[in-house]
Amino acid sequence: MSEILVNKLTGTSTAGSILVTGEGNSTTTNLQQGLVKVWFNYSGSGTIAYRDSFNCASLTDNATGDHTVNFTSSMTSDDYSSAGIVGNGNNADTANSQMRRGTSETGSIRLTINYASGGVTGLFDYGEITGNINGDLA
Amino acid sequence: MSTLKADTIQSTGGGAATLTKQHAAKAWGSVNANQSTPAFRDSFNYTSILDEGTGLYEFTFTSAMSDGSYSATMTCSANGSQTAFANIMTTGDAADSYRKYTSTIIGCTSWNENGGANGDPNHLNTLIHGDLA
Repeated sequence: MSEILVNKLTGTSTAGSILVTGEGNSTTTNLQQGLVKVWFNYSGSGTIAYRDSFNCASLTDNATGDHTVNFTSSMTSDDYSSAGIVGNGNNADTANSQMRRGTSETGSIRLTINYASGGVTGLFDYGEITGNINGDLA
Repeated sequence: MSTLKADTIQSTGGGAATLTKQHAAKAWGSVNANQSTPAFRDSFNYTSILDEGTGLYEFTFTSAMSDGSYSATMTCSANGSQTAFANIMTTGDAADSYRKYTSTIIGCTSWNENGGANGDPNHLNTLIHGDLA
């Protein structure tokens, strides 16, 4: 197997656009578009803090179940896609938990963390909050 | 720092190059579904979104996946009070559930927890990982 050792990849026609051949060998996909631009794993319980993250700066605790993840490098607009799951890391947690997207900005995303159980809903500081952002970097 | 400049990267055999222990997403999208016609705010490798009724959507890929065994992550949130939110209940529906998970299309159902019925969310986000055709 041939191997290229390099620290940076740049498109020759467009610096931020490189095509890679897909697994089925019949099509190509854009490398930059496919890469996740932000991911995070943090605890929302007590003093909120990242366990690990990528392209994340500070973490803001706005209120119970209301947090803001700030990016190190900003996105080009607030039209990016976001996804995530939350929980308390144990099987006894039967409440339906969900991360809800609040105010989206190029440099941050505000999340509200909800639970629903037996028709009761509310905000809650879950211990396991993970998510990612796909879209275009500025 | 060395920089490699190229427009297309292939393996030496002409196939997919190996990105060691990493996998790029093959499709993603951010949709406003809380309007008469759902529309992408931004997307990658989706050609269209079809409104199949309240809380029912069908996405079509631009470049197809190899089969229907890919990973799909979808989340949504509704407008309104902070405790009114929506869930992705399933990737299919009662009419044709398994048809909605093919190499070219994927469907989803959005459920409003507070309303107790399907709902059209303000933010519908999708993320697809797997093998392209």
